[in-house]
Amino acid sequence: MIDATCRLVRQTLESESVLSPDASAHLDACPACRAHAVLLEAFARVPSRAPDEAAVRRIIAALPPAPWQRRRLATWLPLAAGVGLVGTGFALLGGVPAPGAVAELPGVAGGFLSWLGSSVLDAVAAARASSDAVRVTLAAEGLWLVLWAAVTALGGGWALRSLVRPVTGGRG
Amino acid sequence: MIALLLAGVLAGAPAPRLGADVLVEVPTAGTVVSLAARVRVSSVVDGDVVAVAGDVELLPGAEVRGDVIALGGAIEGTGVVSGRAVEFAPLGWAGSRAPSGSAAWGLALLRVGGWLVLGSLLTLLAPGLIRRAAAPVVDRPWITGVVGVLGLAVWLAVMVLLLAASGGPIGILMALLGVAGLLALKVVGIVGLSWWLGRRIAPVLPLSLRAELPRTALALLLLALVGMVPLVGASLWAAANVAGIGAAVRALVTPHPVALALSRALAR
Repeated sequence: MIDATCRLVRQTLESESVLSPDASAHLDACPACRAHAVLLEAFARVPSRAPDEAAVRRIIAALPPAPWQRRRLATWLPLAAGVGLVGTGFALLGGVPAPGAVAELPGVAGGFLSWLGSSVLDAVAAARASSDAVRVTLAAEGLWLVLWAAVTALGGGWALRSLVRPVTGGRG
Repeated sequence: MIALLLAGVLAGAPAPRLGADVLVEVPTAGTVVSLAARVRVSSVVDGDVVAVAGDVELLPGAEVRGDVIALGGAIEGTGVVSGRAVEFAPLGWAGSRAPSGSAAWGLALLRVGGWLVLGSLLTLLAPGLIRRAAAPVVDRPWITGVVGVLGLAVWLAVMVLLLAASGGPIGILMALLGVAGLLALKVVGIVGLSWWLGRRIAPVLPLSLRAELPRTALALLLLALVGMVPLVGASLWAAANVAGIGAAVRALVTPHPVALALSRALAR
């Protein structure tokens, strides 16, 4: 349990001021304040080093939003406004467009998945005999298109990977 | 929007053909769907017409007894539509049948509201990702632009190769995954750009709006509104998209160690 004298002595130690005779006497008598003084001496011996700015920015960028932000109305206002605008937009449009297509979704989703599954087997079989689609594209003088696409994909991909480098974020 | 896109494609099962134009010349009942292709209607369709990443052309004699939707395309022509004609043009370049009046307002509110919801949720749930996407905007911004253009070119080339190499359901699945990936990059990039913009405008905002979430949402709102300005809005929005995609790619792609070493050697 620390009292007012303990607090005063510790503040004096932390501010690195000269201790008064009374404070020195308290330090000799109080084991908790002596431990505090030893801790401060240990901290003082730790070599100080300039922080790595990139590392500091990386750490700060990874922090979650401060808890106080979640308690403020201004944080949730944009989300509420967005939902309101979307609702108003649909109301002005007269509901979701193409309701027929949307209503069919549950019924056809299962059919689509089974169709996909059976088609995977077909695709594997087709791949063994090379792709008909590529041959059709080539036959239709699409060689240059395929070449262009391949060169762009490979060259552009290489250039992209060369251009990007790690960047550090900030948080404000 | 993505759910609607998927709904449109799936509703056209069992055989929506990827990249193949759909021509409706005889009276047809049910939903007509195209993916990455144009729908041309010259007869009666008793249902909806949905084009995903394609245009809808309503030729003389066309009569659609339902809605006509173009997701990422335009609606053209003089045919009759008894329902709604709705375009979701990605860059705001509208066709001749672009909705007007309350429908146009509805689309505008959907766009702004959708971005606000997406941006708020992303900033709230994945702040680290958004901050990472914002960092490349200030770190060598011209490289971010170049990476955006290159990234789009590579994506287009990969999609062309995919479409050439595989048709049918596998092709559709790959195309959907490719489009979803690009959309995800775009969303993260645009919100990252807004995060950076929000930080820049924070000093002039009222104190209650200077925190990370409200200022990012406000910047996103500004960006979406600027994108709707006639004449210049579409170009500015396209530039923001390219920069956003570049920023997201730079933030998410890990550079190859050899490229990094080469870059360091050249820097010396």
